[in-house]
Parts: sequence; C-alpha cells; structure tokens
Amino acid sequence: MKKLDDIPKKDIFNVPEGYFDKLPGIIQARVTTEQPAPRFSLAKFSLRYALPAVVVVAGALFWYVGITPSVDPETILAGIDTEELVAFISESDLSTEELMEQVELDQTDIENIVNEVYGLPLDPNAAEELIDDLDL
Amino acid sequence: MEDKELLDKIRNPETRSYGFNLLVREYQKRVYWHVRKMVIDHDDADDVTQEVFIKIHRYIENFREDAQLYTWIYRIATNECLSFLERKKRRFFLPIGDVAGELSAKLDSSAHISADEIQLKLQKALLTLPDKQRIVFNMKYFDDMSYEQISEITGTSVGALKASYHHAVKKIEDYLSA
Repeated sequence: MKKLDDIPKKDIFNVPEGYFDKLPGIIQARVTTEQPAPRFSLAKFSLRYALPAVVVVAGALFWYVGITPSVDPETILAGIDTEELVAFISESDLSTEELMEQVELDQTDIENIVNEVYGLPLDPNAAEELIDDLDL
Repeated sequence: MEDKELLDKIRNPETRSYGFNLLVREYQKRVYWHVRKMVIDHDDADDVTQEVFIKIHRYIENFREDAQLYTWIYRIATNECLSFLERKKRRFFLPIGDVAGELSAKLDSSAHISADEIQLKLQKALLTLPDKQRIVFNMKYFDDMSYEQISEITGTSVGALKASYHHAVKKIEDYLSA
C-alpha cells in the first residue's frame, strides 16, 4: 500500500518566463476601466429603491380601493359589444314602440337612419319579398 | 507591508492604484498557485487569477476586516476556481468524470508541467476527488494550512474538514496502490 507520506512533496507546475512580472500590469490595466462597487449607503438605497417602491405600493392601493372617476351610462354602453346589446334587447320584454319612446333622436340621427335605409343595396323585387316576409 | 497599511492605501483615492498594485504583487503567487493546482492548465489559471484580482478590486471597499485579508482573498480565489470548474462542466455538458479526464490529459500534455511518474500519478489521483474535497486537500497538504484557517476560508467546520481530508488521503492511497 502506497502511503502519501512516502511521496515527496514536489511542485510540478511551472509558469512562462516573466509571468509574475507582467501580471500586475495586466491586472492594473483591466481594473483601470472598472469602477469599484460603492459602499452600501442606507440613504442612497432608500432613495433609489425604497421610495419608488412606496410610491408604487401607494398607487396600487389607491387603484385597489376603487377610487375611480365616475362613468356615465353612455361610456359604459360604448364598452359593451354591439352584438351583446342586440341579443339583450331581443330577449327582453321591451317592444319596439317602448324602445323608441326612450330614444331621443335628433335630426342627425334621423338623417343617418334614412341614409342607411336608402343606402341598402336592395332591388325593388327583393325589397317586396322582404316586406312580405316581415309581414309589415 | 501590514494588511492594514495596504488597505489604507487602497481606500485612499489618491493612493488607490498604488496600493492595489502592492496587493497584487503581495498575493499574486499565492492566488495563482492555489488556482493552478485546481485548474491544472496555465492559461486557465491565468484567466481565473485575473478574475480573482478584479473581484478583489471591485469589492475591497466592502471588506469588513472581520477576517484577515488573506482569508478573504483565498475565499474569493476558492469560489472562482469552483465556479470555473462548474462552468466548464456545464459548457461542454460533461459529467465531472470527463472534466477530470480532460484535466488529466492536460497533465500529460502541458508544456508547463514537469513531473516524474509518481508525481503525475498523485495529481491524477487528486483529480478523482470532488472539487471541494480536492481544494481542501490542496490547502492542507500542499499549502500546510491549519484546519482553522481552511475553515475560515471555506466556511466548513473543522471536524468536517478533518473527515474530508482523511477520506481524501484514503482514496488517493488506494488509487496509488492500484
């Protein structure tokens, strides 16, 4: 059994000529372009990280509590899909006449409706068929 | 120069560059050989050694002097070695055995290694050890450090280090006898 103590301690590694003379200069050149890490400063840490964090948390709380500006019905309706609105109205018990009573059409609205109707690409025969179908 | 004097020079902006140069000259050989025994290849040792001193330069302002300067430097060097070997393993998707094989091949082929047969066999035996065990062995066997000094550097208890070293010696002796 070979014992470790029987083996003479010998340094088997060697270095290129002049390596340790040049190494300090090489390292100095590399660190000259680097800035040392600043000492930890509680005041700077607070300003840089803690204060913005407080602002963000406060903003999130403000939003969460629900302090939002008031929204008028028109804005709410504008946010709902037209198809969903039509489906809701179709399924409701409101008649067309009742709906029309609630709508306040101004001149612009009337003109738009008229233009839309006269703008429909219907030929007279198709229109008559449509009217028959609707039983108007 | 005393460590305190060295640190004062480094922390003074006017003498920082000079002080750091003195530190490099003071510790370069100890750092280099500590690294070289782990990474085997001179070029790799050169890279790692430079990185060690760059880290020293970067973080010396935060050195709290609750440990000796050489302990702190050795700790950085130890961590850089272990990180280097770990990256080597990951980069080439090599299990640790293959990294040992690669380093063993460098022992045979490097121009900057001159060793007789038994010395080479010893180095190859060391390469069969896990990296952390190998670095502890190197510090104890080659650098004659005390277990207390190694404990400060590695953060491992003296008892664990003694067990690790004795296991390492057993493995090496088994390898040499094979």
